[in-house]
Amino acid sequence: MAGGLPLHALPAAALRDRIASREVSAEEAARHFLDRIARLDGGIGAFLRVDAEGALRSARASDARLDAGGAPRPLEGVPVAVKDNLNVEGLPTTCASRILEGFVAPRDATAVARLRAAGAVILGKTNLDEFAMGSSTENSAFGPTRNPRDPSRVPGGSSGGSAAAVAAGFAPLALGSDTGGSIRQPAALCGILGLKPTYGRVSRSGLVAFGSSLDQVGPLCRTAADAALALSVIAGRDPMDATSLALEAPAASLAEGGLRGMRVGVVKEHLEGEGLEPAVKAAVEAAVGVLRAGGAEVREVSLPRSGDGIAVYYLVATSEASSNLARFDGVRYGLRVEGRDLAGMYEETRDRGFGTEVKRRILLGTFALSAGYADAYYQRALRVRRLIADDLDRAFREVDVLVGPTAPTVAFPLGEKIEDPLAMYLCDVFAVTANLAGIPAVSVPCGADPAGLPAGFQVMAPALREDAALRAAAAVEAAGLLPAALPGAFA
Amino acid sequence: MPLPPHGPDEVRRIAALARIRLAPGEAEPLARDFGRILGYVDRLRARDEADAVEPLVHAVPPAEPASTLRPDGPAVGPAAPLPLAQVIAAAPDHDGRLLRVPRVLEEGR
Repeated sequence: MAGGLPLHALPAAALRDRIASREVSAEEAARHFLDRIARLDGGIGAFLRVDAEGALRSARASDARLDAGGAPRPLEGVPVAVKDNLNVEGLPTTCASRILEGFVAPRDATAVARLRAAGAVILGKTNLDEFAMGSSTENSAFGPTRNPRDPSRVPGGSSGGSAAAVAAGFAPLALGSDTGGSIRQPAALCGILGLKPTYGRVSRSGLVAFGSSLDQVGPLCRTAADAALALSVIAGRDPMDATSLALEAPAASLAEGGLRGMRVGVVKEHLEGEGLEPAVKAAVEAAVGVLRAGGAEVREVSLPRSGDGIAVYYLVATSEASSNLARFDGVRYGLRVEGRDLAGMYEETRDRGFGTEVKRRILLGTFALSAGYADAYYQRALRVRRLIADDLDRAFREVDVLVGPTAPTVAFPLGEKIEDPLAMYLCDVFAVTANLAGIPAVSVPCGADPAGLPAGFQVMAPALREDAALRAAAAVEAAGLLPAALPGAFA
Repeated sequence: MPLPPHGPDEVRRIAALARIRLAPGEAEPLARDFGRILGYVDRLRARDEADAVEPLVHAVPPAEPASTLRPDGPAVGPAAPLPLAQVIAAAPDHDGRLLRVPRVLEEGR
């Protein structure tokens, strides 16, 4: 193959350039990825649904456009996987839940529509924790996804299918959603890059709502440049989402510019966090060394209330979820289980339709919002949320980015935390900060433990400063701290 | 503030509010999880400085409604309403233009 690397090892931008220059046709590229998925996804379970026919149709349309002399678009012919809580017209949206059984999306989510308009080829829908509630992709009604680096381990979650798809070379680019780390933590555990944009950067229209003040759509991919490219396509004001910011999408060159003059704050509490594995800590310190050697000014920064993040998050996110998921009532979408009367139908449908973790969170949120407890729990959490955001504001007066580990551990074995919700929640102890404050954050691979399991380096930046986060991530990426090799069949 | 009850009866009360039926034996493990999770979030009570600040509902406030709301009329383009038939078709039970639901009022009332 021209250029040495097989198609599935290329970043999205490089694959797009090969297609644009007609070295390879979009149809050949699509067939290459579809063939890999058909051969290898049985052992991973990244996809819930592959739309081979739709993908080939889009790919041929790209080829026809180029044949006719049309200018290649930013993602011309690039295969993309989409988390199955984002609507793709004509395909089921399951959210990995029984309760949406039979539901077919009537139109594309805005982010998906923008990908298509940029020439992307939608390969299919990827697995997730039910309604994006989880950190391991084990809470799926359709079975778990496995980590391509070690299939006995989880890929992280909740965008575990999208992360595994990119890591396994099933797609160079995938969409995920991040409510409390759901893009960054699986990116870290699978050894790829994930970006949670500023809240409001990307339209949430067509994303099934979980925690509406926290949810944000973003890319999973291999390089900071690809994340910038994807963001330049999917971001920007959308009349369909009143919380989308009235701003143009940033440029695709967002990750360029290097480290010159960058002030980096290492979050003390994150590097001394409880449960941080020594190998992860060492990998993060190596990445900090890369930034320092690259010319950044590095100092230690304290976020004194960041240890409260998980407590705040699990009250705010569950409260919002209990309200958002009230719409799944057996009347409007998907599943209905008959009951003795209307209330009985609701109760039977929601009992049968929701899995254990979703029920647990709806109940926790219902409790946190209930009469007599709302002030002590929901309102209290929102006040501490402000303290956490204030700490970040203060820190960003002194530094341009804040860095630390994305997750405290490398990928853990399937089953290890599934019976212990609190242990699972603590996977996101460093990630939730960015969601609570609405700021952008990137996870970039920064090394591996002795068994070769990847560790992720998190870079947070002030609102709308994805450029700073991606420039720092690009510098860490360029150091090549994580060996690229995947085991056996995935190489 | 008293520590909230989180035994199985309380879990069943909350489940009824959330319109979720719990199978026999399902409330007990949930009550155990609740106990641990609420014990963990209890740390927020120690943040005395939280009393002095306003709740943060939305970290990035949306723009003024006047600039975010669409004009009050039928939208065109990507924001156009879906055809009614398509919306109705997504429901598990429907009859022409209507969604069919179980009887709400009892006979004779």
